[in-house]
Amino acid sequence: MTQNPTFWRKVVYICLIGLIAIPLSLLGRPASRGTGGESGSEGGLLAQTRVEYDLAQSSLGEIDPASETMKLSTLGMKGIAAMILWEQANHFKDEENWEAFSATVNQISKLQPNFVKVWEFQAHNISYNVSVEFDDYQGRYDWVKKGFQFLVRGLAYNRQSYALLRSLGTYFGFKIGRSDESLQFRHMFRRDTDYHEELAQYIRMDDDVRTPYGVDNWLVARQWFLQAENKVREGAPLSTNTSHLMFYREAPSQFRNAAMDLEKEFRPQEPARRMWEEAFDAWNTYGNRSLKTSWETQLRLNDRQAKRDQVRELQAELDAFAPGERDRQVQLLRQNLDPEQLAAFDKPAEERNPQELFMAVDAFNRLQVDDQRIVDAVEESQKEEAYRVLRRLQMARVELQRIDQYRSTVNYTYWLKRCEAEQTLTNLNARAAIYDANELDERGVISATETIDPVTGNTIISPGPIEKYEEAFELWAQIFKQFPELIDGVTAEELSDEIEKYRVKLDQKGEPFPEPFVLDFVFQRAGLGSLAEQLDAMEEGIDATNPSAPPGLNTILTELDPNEAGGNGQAPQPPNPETPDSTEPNGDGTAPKPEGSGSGEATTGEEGNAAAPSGASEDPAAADPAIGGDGTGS
Amino acid sequence: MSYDDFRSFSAWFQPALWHLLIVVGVCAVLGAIVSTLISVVRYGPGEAFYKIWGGFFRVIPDLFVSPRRVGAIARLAIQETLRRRVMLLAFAMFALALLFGGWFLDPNSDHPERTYLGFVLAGTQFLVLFLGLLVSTFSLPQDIQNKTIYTVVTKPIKASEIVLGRIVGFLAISTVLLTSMGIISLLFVTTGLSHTHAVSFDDLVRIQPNSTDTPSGRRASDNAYFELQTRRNGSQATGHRHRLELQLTGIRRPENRSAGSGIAGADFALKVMSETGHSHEVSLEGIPAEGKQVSLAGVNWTVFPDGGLVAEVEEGNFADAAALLDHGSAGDTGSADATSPLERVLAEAGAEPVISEPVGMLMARVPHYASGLRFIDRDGAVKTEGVSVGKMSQKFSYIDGGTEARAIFGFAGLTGADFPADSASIDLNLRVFRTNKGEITRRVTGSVYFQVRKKVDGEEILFETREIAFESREFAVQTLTFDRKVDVVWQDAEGNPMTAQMDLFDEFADPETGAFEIVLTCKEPGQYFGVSPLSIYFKLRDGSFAANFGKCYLGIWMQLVVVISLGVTLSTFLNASVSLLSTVAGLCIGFFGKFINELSTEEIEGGGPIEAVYRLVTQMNLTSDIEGGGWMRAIDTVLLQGMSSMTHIIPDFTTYSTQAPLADGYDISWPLLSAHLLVTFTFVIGAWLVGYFALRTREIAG
Repeated sequence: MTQNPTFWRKVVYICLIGLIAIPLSLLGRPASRGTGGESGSEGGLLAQTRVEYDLAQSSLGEIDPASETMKLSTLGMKGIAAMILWEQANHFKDEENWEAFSATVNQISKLQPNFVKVWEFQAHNISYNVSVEFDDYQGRYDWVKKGFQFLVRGLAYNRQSYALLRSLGTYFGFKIGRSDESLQFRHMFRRDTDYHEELAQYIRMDDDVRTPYGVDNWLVARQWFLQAENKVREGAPLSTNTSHLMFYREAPSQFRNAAMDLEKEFRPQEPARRMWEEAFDAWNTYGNRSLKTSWETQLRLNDRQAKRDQVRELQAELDAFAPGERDRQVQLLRQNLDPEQLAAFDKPAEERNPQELFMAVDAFNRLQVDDQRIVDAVEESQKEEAYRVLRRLQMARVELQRIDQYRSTVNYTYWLKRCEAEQTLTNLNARAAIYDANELDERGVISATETIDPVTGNTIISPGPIEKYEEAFELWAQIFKQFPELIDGVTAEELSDEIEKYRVKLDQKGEPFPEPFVLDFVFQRAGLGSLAEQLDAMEEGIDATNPSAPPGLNTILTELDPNEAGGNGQAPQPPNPETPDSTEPNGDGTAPKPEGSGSGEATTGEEGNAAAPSGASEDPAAADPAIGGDGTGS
Repeated sequence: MSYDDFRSFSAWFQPALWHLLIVVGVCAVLGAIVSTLISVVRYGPGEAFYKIWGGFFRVIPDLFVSPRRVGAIARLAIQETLRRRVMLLAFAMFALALLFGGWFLDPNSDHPERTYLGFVLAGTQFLVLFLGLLVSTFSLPQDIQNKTIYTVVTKPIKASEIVLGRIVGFLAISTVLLTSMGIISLLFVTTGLSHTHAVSFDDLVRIQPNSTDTPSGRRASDNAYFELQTRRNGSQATGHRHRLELQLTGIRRPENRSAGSGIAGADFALKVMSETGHSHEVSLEGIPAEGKQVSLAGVNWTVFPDGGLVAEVEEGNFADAAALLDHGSAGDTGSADATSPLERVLAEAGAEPVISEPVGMLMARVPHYASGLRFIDRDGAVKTEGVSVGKMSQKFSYIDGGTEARAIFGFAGLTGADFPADSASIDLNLRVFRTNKGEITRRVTGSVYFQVRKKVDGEEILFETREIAFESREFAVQTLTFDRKVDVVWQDAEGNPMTAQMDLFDEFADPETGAFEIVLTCKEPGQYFGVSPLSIYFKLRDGSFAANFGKCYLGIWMQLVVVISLGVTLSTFLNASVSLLSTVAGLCIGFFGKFINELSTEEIEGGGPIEAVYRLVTQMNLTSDIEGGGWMRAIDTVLLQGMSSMTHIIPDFTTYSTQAPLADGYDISWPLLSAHLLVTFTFVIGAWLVGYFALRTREIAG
């Protein structure tokens, strides 16, 4: 046996290596499947953690040999390599070296394939920021598409992510359909059969995405949103800052977007009307969907009437304990109102002018009797029973208030009525007349033209744009009378542009603007839309925000002491009513807000109003400059 | 002196020479001081003087080397490299990379040639430099360590010959490797990008010029009347398609009739539209060289094999080309045959379309760039720069549209002999910036014209040509072809307007200098054109891509020369691993010299090595002040100054890279390469001298 110190040193080294191998084995031992009925091993700590958080490559998505090779070749310095590549990508973008930029972005995605935000950010960068650098709209379209293709590639690596699918829906819809070049983009997308074939590998590209004019980007967007819904249904966890209200609103909204664009691009005909029918059905189905709220309860937007009936019944039940008390209280409250306000309130609805309408709504709110006062007036023997009814009434009021609030956030009533109105023949004709008028206007026609039929010799009068506009305004007046909910929405706003064109045409012809104008009542009522829900409530005499409403539903459910019912007498404030995360872009369709940008739901004047909650995002990613960065668009 | 900055060898040479003299002077003085100090310490002041003086006189004869002995050392170096098989390993790695790398290159990207070239050039550069690094730094120290060096130094051979022989030997073997890689790379790129497309006239669709109502949804050309798209089958089952348009190229007016009375014929041509940065030629199989005639509904058609068509009306005339093309259609004849007259003509002629290999993908345009660029602003004032539109990159300077603003490119040295044909062409490479949407479906329009000031009877007169209007094409090279005979307008001494037709190069240009200017304007108010000095140039001819590819490889070869000579030099006084690390450090200085200089002059933030490590460890951002960090800055200043001074010695490796002009399709000029070669050989001489001195001080060589 040799006593050579080198030998002993080697022995010590081997022993040390052996010792280190023990904890390594405990940590890194892979999981194994059981065979022949035996249960498999859970593996080491790392293997267990991978399973717990779905971090294994195979559970995240496809394993790409190129990606793995790149990661390995960085010799553990993936982070540094990624940082350098991000810097390079920015540099190439600044230098407008698009090929190098594209190649670098691809390399980044190979290094960080399972980082969803990388795909989202760079896809947005390509589709929204790089594309606009091109002067030629065709070049822009190509780069918009490159962004989409990049995002689609990310799907394979992130099978558990619904966020990428949602982004795809948003991009396909809004980048193509709401950009400055939307007309051209939509046209090119309809003709892009090669791309349709490519998309068919991922989504249904059958009749569901086609109109008689071709494949519609909004309907393709809807398919992506439906896939996102499927992903959630299959168990993908919905992010905590994604509300059900917003998430499930996306797919049904696409029908109406498609319908609106069809009406703009083609003479409104049956296909557009059918699209509105689809939009109505989809929106109504959305209204019937049970949505999880941020109070961890469920509600349906279409339950409002049922809830109102319930409130009315419970109020009557409560009033029965102290007959006449509510009227007495109302009389007392009336004494506090101005005579002018009272007169406005007592006036028949159809006779009120806009100012009186505001006053009447205000008076209605002031005349709400605190339910607690009714209970106070109940005889002692019946008080306990009255409290029970009061509590049920308060709960019903809270639920009604939440429904109203949620409906208001997505402008549910407006869109339901809009979809209903747009299906009517009157509406179709009105839009067709506007379309014709605009066409004549673009062709430079001012007046009606007379031609002689060569066969019959009869004089044929072809109406000019002025006549067409007037025909359209007459029809619009009928529509607004039938659907007053549309007055303060996008519909009336759209019309103001047409009225301006009409005014210009009259000027050109030297004719004065008609007084009174057939649509005067529309503009007199403009701005009252925010009162729509309250007017509705006033009509039915039901107010969800009764002063005695308790601080929160959960409190009511847990508090059983009747003496404490009524709480502080204030309407409940939702703890976190909505944390919208929608990436729906701004009106110009050029800059969607990346998730977590803190901007909340983009209403675009179409959805949500003053009653919509603030929606400040709680997504920690909002603080990440790489997400907010310049990716917010042009 | 990168491709973008380089103007001419003469303009580069003088400042470069001064720079060299300063560096050599500083190095010589520092070398003398250091060697004197060492000698004084080792031998005392008196002995040191004699040593240095004697050494100086020994240097002169040592520098006269024997080619035979250098060749012998070089042969030994080659044998040694071959014995180590490291070259084979590098070649095998390269072959493997090409074999599998092709899978991950996208031939359907916007400019696939850039991706392919980037891949092969980067691979070659990495492997060859790595090889050069290994062989040059390990050889001499191992010989010294193994004492095998004595088998050489005991022969009548000089230290200078040992150093030079090794440099030559390693360079020779690496050059063989680089050449083989270059040839294989060229084949890889050309075969990888080679493709054609399937096409059928059955897919022809009648379109309106300039319309977007086309099968592809893309805007048709202003003179296009039919469109078809290439088919996706075979090897092109996925990827890009091209549009093929039938374009009107000429109108034939009826004889003895006024111009407004319609047309008696028209010339058409089939043209493949550009896609992913390239186009193709179309030819018609089954058509004889002299063309084939087909008569249809009173129109005589002649179909030519190059895709040209001529239609002549037998009697009467048509309102326009569209009417001519539609004549004889189902609508005209009441026939049930829905095929268009054009399709019937092509079918009757038996024409089968064939698409050629890509055109415009692997090019080597030989440009003649402007010698100067100046601007006129919107108020008519002369400026050296245009407007900044807020872009990060300042490469392009902008002119406002619809105003007096102009970009004026000065040209000189062109003669009629440079353009043998009757026409000449200029290439435009512009940027466009819109401040309003304008008309989305149209690109921004502009114009160019030529101007020159010449003295006539002692008075300076401005001669101008008529404008050539164009619609801009951003991020692409746009060629404007025009007749050499240009219509010129000027005012004579009395202010009378004069016009004449002149040859642009032989008559219009200044007779003494051949100078004239190209004036660029943007026509649309609110929109801007961006230009750089390279934005407008005359295309003299198309050079050979293979030759250009070789020139690009010459750049890599020069980097190799620098690495090998640096490695051999360092290995004369350092051991193998230290010389390897030092050469890597030299490579870093070569590649990141600009960055180092910017750091040392504080143009960019972050500080030197010590400060950078501190910030990394403490995760501090680049801009925050480090409290009590004065000592760090002091050390960094010294280190950075040292590194910065090294950037004056080691050539800037980034300027050797001519990948960008190669990929963009521009010929790499010999004057630029000559400048690079001169820098390289100057460095080799310097390195050789240092190596010689170092080896001699080790007293192992004679």
